[in-house]
Amino acid sequence: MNDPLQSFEHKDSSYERPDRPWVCGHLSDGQPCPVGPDVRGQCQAHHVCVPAPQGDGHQCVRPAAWGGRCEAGPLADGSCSEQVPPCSPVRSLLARRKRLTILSTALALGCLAFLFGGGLSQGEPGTSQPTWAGRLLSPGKLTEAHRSFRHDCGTCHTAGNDGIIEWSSSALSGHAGAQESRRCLKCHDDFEDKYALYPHNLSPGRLQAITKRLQDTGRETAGLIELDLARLVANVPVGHEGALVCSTCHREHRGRQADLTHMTNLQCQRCHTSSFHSFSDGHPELVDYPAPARSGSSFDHNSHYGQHFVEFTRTMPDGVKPESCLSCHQDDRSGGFSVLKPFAESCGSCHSGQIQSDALPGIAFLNLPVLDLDSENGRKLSQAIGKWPVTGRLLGPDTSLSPFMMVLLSADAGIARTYRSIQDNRINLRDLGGVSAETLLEVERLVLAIRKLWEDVAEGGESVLRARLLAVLGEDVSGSDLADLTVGWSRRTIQDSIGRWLIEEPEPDPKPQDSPRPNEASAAAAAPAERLESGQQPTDRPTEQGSKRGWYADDSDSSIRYRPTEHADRFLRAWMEVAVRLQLRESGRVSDDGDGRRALQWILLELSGPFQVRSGRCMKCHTVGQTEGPASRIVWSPFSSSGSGSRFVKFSHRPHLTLKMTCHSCHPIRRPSESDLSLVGRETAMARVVSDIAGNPFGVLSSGLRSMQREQCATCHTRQRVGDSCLKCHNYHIDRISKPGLPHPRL
Amino acid sequence: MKSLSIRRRRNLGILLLLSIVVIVIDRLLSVSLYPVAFVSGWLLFSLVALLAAYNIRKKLPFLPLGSSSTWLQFHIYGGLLSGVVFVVHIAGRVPNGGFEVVLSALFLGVFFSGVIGLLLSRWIPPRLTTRARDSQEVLFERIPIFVRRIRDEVEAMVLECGSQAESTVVPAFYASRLKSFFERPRNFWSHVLHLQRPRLKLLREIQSQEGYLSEVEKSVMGDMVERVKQKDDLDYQYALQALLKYWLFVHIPLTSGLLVFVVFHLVLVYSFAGGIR
Repeated sequence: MNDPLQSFEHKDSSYERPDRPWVCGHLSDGQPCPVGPDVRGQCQAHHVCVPAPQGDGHQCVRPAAWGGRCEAGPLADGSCSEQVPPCSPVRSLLARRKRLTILSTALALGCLAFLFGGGLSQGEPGTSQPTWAGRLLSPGKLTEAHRSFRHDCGTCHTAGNDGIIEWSSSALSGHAGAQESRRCLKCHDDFEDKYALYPHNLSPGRLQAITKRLQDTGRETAGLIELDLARLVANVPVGHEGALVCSTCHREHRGRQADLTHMTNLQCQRCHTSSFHSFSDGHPELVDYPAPARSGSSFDHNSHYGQHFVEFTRTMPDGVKPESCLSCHQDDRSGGFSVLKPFAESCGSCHSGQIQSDALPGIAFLNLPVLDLDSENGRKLSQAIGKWPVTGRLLGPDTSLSPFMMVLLSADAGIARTYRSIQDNRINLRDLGGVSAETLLEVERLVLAIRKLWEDVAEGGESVLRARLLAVLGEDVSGSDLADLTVGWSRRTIQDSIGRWLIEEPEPDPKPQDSPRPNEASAAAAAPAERLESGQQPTDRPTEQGSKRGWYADDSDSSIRYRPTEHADRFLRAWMEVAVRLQLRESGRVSDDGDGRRALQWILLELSGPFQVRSGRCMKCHTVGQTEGPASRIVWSPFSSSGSGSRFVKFSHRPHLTLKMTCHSCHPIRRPSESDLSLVGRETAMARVVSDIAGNPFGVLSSGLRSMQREQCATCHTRQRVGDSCLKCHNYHIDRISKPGLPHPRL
Repeated sequence: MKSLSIRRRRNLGILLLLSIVVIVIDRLLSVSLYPVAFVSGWLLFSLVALLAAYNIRKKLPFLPLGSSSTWLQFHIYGGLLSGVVFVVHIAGRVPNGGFEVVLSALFLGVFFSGVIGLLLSRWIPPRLTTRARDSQEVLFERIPIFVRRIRDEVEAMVLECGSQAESTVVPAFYASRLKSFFERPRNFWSHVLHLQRPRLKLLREIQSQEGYLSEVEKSVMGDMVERVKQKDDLDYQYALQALLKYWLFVHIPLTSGLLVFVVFHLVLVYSFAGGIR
């Protein structure tokens, strides 16, 4: 073995100091000087030996660690005889590493300043290419839907138009996330702005109410450990009043094909009070799905298929019997829903005749009751009221006034009381022989009021009608309601009728201008004639006598009648809506607050009786549905898929119909129960209306289709088969505002 | 060794436990729709800052900041934990934004250079110790001095041999084959890879000269073989110790660049995050 190369004896081994920034330039040759350079990198070789003056000469004083005294000693001039040649010191390893570190830091800072010092703003407005900075800074590609924004960070980010200084300031001061979300809502503006950032786009109060309703069901919740732990670890990050920023759920810059709407089932259940393992394990049972047990329209598949279509040729000779479900139903534009075809293509062949048949009498709007003008009292009455038609209905209640006219008469409270008194005393207007003078006076007052109403309406037209309706209905009807309630009113019809029924035929008189008018009605009757003679055009719609639709006068009972012009007639619809909304809105309680409002009940009766031989009969098919507000409303339209994106549950037929399934696979017709059969025939539309408004959601208005069961869906909707993600069947964002012609942005 | 093994197992256990905790909490926060990237990001930033502080700690030995050994242990296991947190932070995705790619590359560069440094620090010292049984351990900074000393000795032997033996075989062999070997450290990668082929080849060449040598020359050549072995051992020491020092030339400058990019990343995140924090 060789001798040891190095000795660690303190006398033989100098202390190595690798932290020094410089080392001797001779080290690479293996002959470093013992001193080494100073901290500034200056060679200190001349300090190795500095002979000390001694007497006349010099003495070597080199330290022992550096080699000790040399044998030769200093030269005569006092310089060292073994001088170490000077070197060019080199940096130590540590110093070189430090320089490299500083260089690396400077390089990083320089790169960032160079690339991003100018911010991300576009150099030239309208430039189609993004800046290099924008490209580099983007944390990833945008999804296909947002691809057009890839050139301008400022579209979505407030900081996108800023520079590095503003970013630093923004990072330190912070900024509201909601402001960034507002930028999202500039395009995704199909939410009500006020609640756009709230969970499910619901107001806090509504969400709370729904939550409470679900909690009150007392449904058991599955103990999911992960969910319980998640609740312990953190709350869902919400802002003021529970508002959420868009980026809570939607994370961009994750690639073209990234799914911005992806959510796990646990994430969905994080906010919900009850939880379950999966759709097939613990998910609440489907209730009245896809349609509620109580149908929106009075259409029962069961009775139609089992009874009506069987007796088709007898009851509906013009009807077209459906061949399949698709005879009446069709896919909507999205293909996701099966919706009812328009009325003319579905129900029209059977039911349009019941609405506008010329063979059925129209609805009496104004009528002149039959009066006893032959008895002594009748003659007295005749003298007081002037001409009154003697023709009229021979059957039926002689005191019957049109409910519409009763509403109009109720504008005068005194007349209303008079009429009520006549009714209460069971006075027969066709037999006034035995009535007292006081009663006769009441009858006279009523008849004159009717006459005045006719004259006023003939003179003032729609404005008089609206004024009277306003007096009766007060502030409960809007201007648009009033317009609909008198839409298409034909003043000419009543003017002609007054001329025939209430005005004495004038005696041939060479001086007609001098003949006294029997009463004001004659003046009213003459007014339109004068206008016509003067060439003034009537403003009212002409009576459709020829077609027997719209307004017409019926000489058989001296009435002004209305026959609907078509399905969804605006006039009848308006009266029905107002009647339902105002008259029976409080849990079906029959109101007796006023005679006018009580008369609205009779209007309902007039229009709702399914077995009355009269055109119209809206409520034969339409029903009164419950709304969240205090008022009820008539369900005029069948299910529409246009608002389907606004519901919690979503469904599309399209992927399901690729399977070997028919309509009946999921929607089998339910066999009627005994109770159904017993109720169907007996129910009147009026009773149903009252029942509906009273909040009886289960009535007898069954669609006749069996509701779906969760197990039916769960056979395929498992994690292993087609997936059981919550978002497969549920929308998060509801209450969307529909924009005609524009598809919903997919969220 | 037993205590070292116990400490390593304990620290690895803690690392494993913390990794599981990080992953589980990330998952739970994700369920709560919490911006998990912020949480893991701040955790990662804190770890990186603490790991980088180890270098500062070494420069401030006078401050009572704990022993360097403790810091080193934290540096090692904290660094490994940062790798786990990094994967959690990027949610297992491959970053595809330009800046994020650079940032990730920097982190991975620091992480893996650190892992390599850790492996080197575990692998080299035993090898040095093993080799030193037959030779000796030397300080890295003094290796050039010892190389020079050996070279001077060998050259003196060659000169003396040339004058005594009246033959030029040894000087000629030295000039043609050995002079470059003794000039500076040689066979760096062979030593790193623990290959002895160059050493054995040279010794065989020396041995092949024996048939042409006189007794004096054989004696000189015998001494020269010893010097060759000594120099080769020094080269071995140099190669491995250089590795232990030069990996930091990657690790530390990358760390400084990483810190700059991380701070900029923080600024960007808080400016562009859209409120998810």
